[in-house]
Amino acid sequence: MTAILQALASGLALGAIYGLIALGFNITYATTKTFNFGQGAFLVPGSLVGVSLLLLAAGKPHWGNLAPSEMTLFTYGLATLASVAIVGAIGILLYYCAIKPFVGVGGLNWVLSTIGFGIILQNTALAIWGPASIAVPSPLGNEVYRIAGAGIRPQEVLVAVVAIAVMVGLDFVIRRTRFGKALRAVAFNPQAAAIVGINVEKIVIIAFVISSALAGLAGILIAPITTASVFIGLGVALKAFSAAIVGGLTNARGCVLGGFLLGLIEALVGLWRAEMREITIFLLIIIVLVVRPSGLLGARSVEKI
Amino acid sequence: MPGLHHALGVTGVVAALALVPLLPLNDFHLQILFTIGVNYLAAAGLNVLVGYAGQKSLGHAGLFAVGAYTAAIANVDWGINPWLSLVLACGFGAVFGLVIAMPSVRVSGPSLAMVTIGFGIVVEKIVTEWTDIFKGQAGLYGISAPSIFGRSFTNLHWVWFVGLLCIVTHLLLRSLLRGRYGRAFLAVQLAEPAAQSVGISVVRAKTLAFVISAVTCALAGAVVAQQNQYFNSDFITFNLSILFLVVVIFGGSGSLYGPLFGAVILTLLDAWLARWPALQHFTYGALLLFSLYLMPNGIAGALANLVKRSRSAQPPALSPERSLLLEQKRDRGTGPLLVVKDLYKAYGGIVPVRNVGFSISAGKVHALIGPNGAGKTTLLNLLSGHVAPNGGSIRFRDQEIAGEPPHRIAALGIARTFQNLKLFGDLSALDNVLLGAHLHVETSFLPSLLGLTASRRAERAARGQALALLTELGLGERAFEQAKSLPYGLQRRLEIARALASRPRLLLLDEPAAGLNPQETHELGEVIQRIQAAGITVLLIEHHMDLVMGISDHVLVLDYGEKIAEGAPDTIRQDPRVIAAYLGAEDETEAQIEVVA
Amino acid sequence: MSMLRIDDLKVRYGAVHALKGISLSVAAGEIVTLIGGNGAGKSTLMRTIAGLVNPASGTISFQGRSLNAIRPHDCVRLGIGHSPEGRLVFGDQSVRDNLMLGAYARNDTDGVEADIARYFAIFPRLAERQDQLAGTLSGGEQQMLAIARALMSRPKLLLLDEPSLGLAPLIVREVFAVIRRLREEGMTILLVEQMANLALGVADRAYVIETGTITLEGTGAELLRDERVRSAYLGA
Repeated sequence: MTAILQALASGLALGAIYGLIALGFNITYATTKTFNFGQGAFLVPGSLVGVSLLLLAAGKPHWGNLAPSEMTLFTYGLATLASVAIVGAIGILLYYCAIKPFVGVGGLNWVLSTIGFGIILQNTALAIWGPASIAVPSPLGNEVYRIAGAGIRPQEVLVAVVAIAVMVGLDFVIRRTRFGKALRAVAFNPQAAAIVGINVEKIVIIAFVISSALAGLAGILIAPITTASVFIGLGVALKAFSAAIVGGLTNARGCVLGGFLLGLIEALVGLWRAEMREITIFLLIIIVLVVRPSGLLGARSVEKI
Repeated sequence: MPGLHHALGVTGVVAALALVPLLPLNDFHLQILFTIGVNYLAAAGLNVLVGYAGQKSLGHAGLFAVGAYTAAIANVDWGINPWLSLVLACGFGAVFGLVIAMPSVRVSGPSLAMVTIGFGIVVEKIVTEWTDIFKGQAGLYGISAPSIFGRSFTNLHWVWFVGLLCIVTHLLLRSLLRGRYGRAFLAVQLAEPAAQSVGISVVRAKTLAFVISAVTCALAGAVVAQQNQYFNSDFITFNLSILFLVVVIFGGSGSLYGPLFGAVILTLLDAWLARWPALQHFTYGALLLFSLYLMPNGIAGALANLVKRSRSAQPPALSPERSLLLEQKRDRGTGPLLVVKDLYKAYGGIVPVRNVGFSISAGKVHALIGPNGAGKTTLLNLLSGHVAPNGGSIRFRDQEIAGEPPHRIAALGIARTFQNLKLFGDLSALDNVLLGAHLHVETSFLPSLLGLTASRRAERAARGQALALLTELGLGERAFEQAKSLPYGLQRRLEIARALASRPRLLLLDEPAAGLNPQETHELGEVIQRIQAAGITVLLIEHHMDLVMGISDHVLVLDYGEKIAEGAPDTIRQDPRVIAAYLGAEDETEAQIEVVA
Repeated sequence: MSMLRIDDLKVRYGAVHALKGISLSVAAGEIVTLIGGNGAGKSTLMRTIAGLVNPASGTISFQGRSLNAIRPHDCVRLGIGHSPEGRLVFGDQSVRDNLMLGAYARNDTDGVEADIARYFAIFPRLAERQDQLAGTLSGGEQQMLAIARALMSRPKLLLLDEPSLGLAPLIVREVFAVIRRLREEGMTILLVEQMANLALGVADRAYVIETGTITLEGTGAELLRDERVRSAYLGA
């Protein structure tokens, strides 16, 4: 029982991470019918830039290990803001290099170009930080909370709280604000959006900035759990992609739902047999898609003949 | 590439392979040649799936694994001869191709990417984790290579052997893709509903493409395992799936030679840059990022553009045969051909077709009219099978067809055109008509694959007939032009030609005059009358009243999903309900309220 | 002094010449209509003026400013409102939000609320359904919404593309009543319309466009009487 509670907690934290990244897929897919297939590489600077800034601030070289005392909620918060800003800015570069030439052209070229961008980004990170991983202390310390006998790591709580707050905030922005309405207008029909005076390209660029920033945020949030390294991204991003597809790539809330479902299933299956996690998850995804090709909450597209 | 050039090219490759021992090549070089061959094998089949059938797969490393592990386990654990293991590997590949096709053909776009990625990862995890059988990272040792005359393959033999496999694969795929099957794959990629309307089963075509790609990928995996004499789970990664896809797309997907260019260039580049691993990755990334921007259709596409600029394409000489289509006398006024009863279709609260019943007499021109949104196109889609009804019956030549899939209905003799043209735009006018005749090109899979004479004869006959049909409809001059480059009026006419090529008994025309100028509309009327004279029954949706009244024997009027009148054109013109529906009577708002409620 | 002036405009889609040298002008306060068959190039012309398509050659100027390389959202800021063919209302947003989006290029929030109230008065059906999703409106209501949304940008020139498309005759009459009312208020309108008799009825001047070129021009009344127009477009 306590094991299950423990798994639920880490499943929620993991799910929140998947949900964040999946939300990024949703935002750019809705506006451009493309998304960043190399998103995994965006988690890398997300975690490493933040950690290195803290190391430099502490007067150490950019690559090393942080003492727990050098990691407070305040410094972690600053590092997070820096990561989000820098990875968000990389999103602009991504748009101009890998997306803009292929938007509206159809075909799969954007898949390969974004993968290519990711490879370059990852190898740039490799040149800066090297292949070894950096242990990152949690700003809340490593002392495990005991809830009903289950040991829950404070970073997991932090991840879940921050991610859920960001997701709720984004949901509000998209549904209620002028920017959100413009974003949805572009998603509904870019030409219709243009003729009411919306600068479609600007909205699309912002969508990529948000999407990238979410990946950066995911990177720094997950670092104290997984350690920070150049190789953390791919697996997490693939699951986030799965979460988006299963929940419904066209539906923001579906993507978040997909993230949590995947995180929970992964954690619970891991209790049973750790090596069966991926197999179970991906088989389940295939089954879900056969029954509901556009995901759990995705809009069914009916081609008009 | 014309036949002579092709023969020279193949001979050249064979000669080059024969000369390999004379060149100062070391084992490293031989290994590169071998790898080129393996990458080509995997990509050649994948190209059928990605480039022809339009199904993008990101999980073919899984099928490579199927081949490699089959060859390895069959030999190491079951003691099966290496040659037989290779065959077995292809067989297992085909079976797994079917397995992955089953979920894949039901999804598209990002969901398809997900299903194939999922398949690749599941296979990767199974071979990594299920160590009892697959030995995980430790791997399977001592896989025997095939031998000839008691001698095991040397590295040189491997290059020859893989070269031979590549040439055979190329010849088979070339023969298959240049005929009926290649066209069907492209049709599925370019316009699914139209492919269905000419009798192509989309599910079967996609499945076949998956199986073909699975077999060549499995073969590639098997030869790698055998040449290496060792295989472990580290070979099988998501990156391998990406690599195969990159070879196809960078080389030029949808071109027979694309996978060759991709395999040669990427393998050489990879080998050359292997000394500087950091640079290798950057180059790989930059290649993915920029090459498709510079060459959207890959290397093959870029080369084709160069060649096109240097010489204008000469259409192959073809003698039109007499078209059988407009001469056959069929169904001349012999009772009802199609009987519809209580047909019903609802989308949520909207009911575009509400308990409609009518019958269509053989040999006549019937018109279906009604205001926009009256449900005409939905009714047509129900008849052609593109939409399944919620209730009611459609009997065509005394056979119930309601709810049957469109390709089966097409095979029974119902052809159609589309309101918003659905031509296979990238294909020539001739290929569009040949696709119309898809069910009548008399060849099947094996003869097409092997390029047997009978199959080539059938293809030639079909081309002659298609050209004759185009000529009869005034399109003969433009048979070799891309469908999408034709003027709009001719595109409309080409769609009719494509439908006629399927030799229908009933032809459904959805607003054939939309967008035509008065002169073209007049000519269309004449064409329809010729079709009727040939004994083909016509059901026509149209807004141009002059056309409808001028050529129809019988008119049906639909409004808000219901049949409100039918009869001879003159009767319809006088009918008060029809006048009300078109010109807006006082009770119209009530009618609207009814629909909303 | 014409508000919109187009000279020898050519537009290409790939290899297809959609417009082959169009010249026309619209003066302030005028209603000008373009009639012609399907595929004649009417909508292409509208889309070019709105900045959705850029011309291959020729010039477009609006109040003396060139629109040749303009982007569509800048067109709106210059004062060109566009009610497009097929209406293109934002189906997943409410009627009110659609109108708010119509004012996206404006900065005055007070004026926006006042304008919404004004158009709710002109289109009472929209007021009744202001919280409904635009996608659930009937075709006629969507057309009204598309016109109101275009007016929300306070345009100097209104482009109206096929407002009668797919509407029942009674509803078409309502739409044209609105067009007449806008004319009385002094709005300048360029109207593309299949229903030539209705269009010529409200227009001050008209152009007939066939396969990408202008073949006839004159006042609405002249063209209504013209034999060629009568046989080709009025079914007489």
